[in-house]
Amino acid sequence: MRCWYRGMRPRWRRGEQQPESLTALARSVRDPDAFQEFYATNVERLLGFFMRRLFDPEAALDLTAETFAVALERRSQFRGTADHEASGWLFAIGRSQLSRFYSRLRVEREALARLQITLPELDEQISEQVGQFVDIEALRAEVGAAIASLPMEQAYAVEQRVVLERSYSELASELAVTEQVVRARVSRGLRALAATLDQVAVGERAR
Amino acid sequence: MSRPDELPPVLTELGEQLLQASREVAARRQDERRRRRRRLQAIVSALAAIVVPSGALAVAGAFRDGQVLSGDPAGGESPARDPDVVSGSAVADPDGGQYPWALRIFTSAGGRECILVGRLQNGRIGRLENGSFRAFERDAPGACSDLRRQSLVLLSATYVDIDRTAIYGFAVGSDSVRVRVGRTVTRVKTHAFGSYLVVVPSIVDASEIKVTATIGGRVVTVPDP
Repeated sequence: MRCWYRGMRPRWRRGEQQPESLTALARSVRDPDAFQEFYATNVERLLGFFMRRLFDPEAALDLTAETFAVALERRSQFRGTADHEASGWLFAIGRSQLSRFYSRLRVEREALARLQITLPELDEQISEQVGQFVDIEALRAEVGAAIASLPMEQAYAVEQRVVLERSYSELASELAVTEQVVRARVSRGLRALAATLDQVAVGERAR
Repeated sequence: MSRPDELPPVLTELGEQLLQASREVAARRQDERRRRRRRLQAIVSALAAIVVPSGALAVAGAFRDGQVLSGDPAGGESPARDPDVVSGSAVADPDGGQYPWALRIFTSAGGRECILVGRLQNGRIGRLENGSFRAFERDAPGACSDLRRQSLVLLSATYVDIDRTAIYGFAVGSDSVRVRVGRTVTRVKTHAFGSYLVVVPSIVDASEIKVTATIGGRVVTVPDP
């Protein structure tokens, strides 16, 4: 039984118009299609964020997808009112996903699996598309310029892997360590460079 | 901001899969909300049969406006008519049959006007169980309002087992109300204390119901548009 009195607004009304001032993320709770707008607004920056830290198109793509999948599942939890708050909320999820990646060195596609979203196997063509999209060559140049600030082992690993694009297995063989060790050195090196690279990225967009 | 047509194909495809997933999640949530409402409505319908002591207020029949049923003492083997039942509010069930719907109105111990809807037989209201009429107890609970402060009251009760929704309440000082269910509008006369009753042959979500009346020269609608 429902009861209304004059002057009392029901707590929830189906089909109520969403004011346009709400962020696309907030609107997507009632209007599923608004999530695409939120995705289009943030996908480039998010992918670039992961690429600057990993220089691995496959991992960056996986993390981007998993981050948006988690955001889709949790979108009703977002309490902000501005687009930049929605982006910040998304990037907080992304940083959490990145942190898990650092500890496991693999992407857990849990939310993607729950939503039954599949990514294609990364071939050379797709890898090239992603690289061009985030201007990976420019990122490599930035890394090359910043690398001198790193400890020697990390600087070498990052330079060989990111700038010269040598494989993990090749480097592991040369350095007589496991691939896991090489990945960890590259990962730590890129994390240390992240703040510098983010500033450069922001500066370029501002020009 | 990236426009979809600037994204590489792998990102465009990811966006489309996220959109599809978004729609599926929304559809599942809507289904779950409907199931929860039906479960709640079934519980409310069952609770409506629980007896609670309260005052009494009479409802007039749909056929003789404004006439309040006077109580007749029980005689012989017939059960006493309920003086609080407004037989004038009676409306036929959409499928017809011998048990129209009607209202009982009474005043609670706290001085509020209370209203109860049920099936009508021989001047008493109750419910149908397996086709047999069972009268509500004299102290069956109703929904109560302070009509000195609220002039337009809308209530609805659904009966999921028989696919009915009863829409009723008060429009104090108005001789009729307009009841909107979805796109259908029905004008019904009011009875004692401005009470009204409409019975719809389907389960109607409460959010689809609006009632409008002219009270004190003003057009009033609940819920607020």
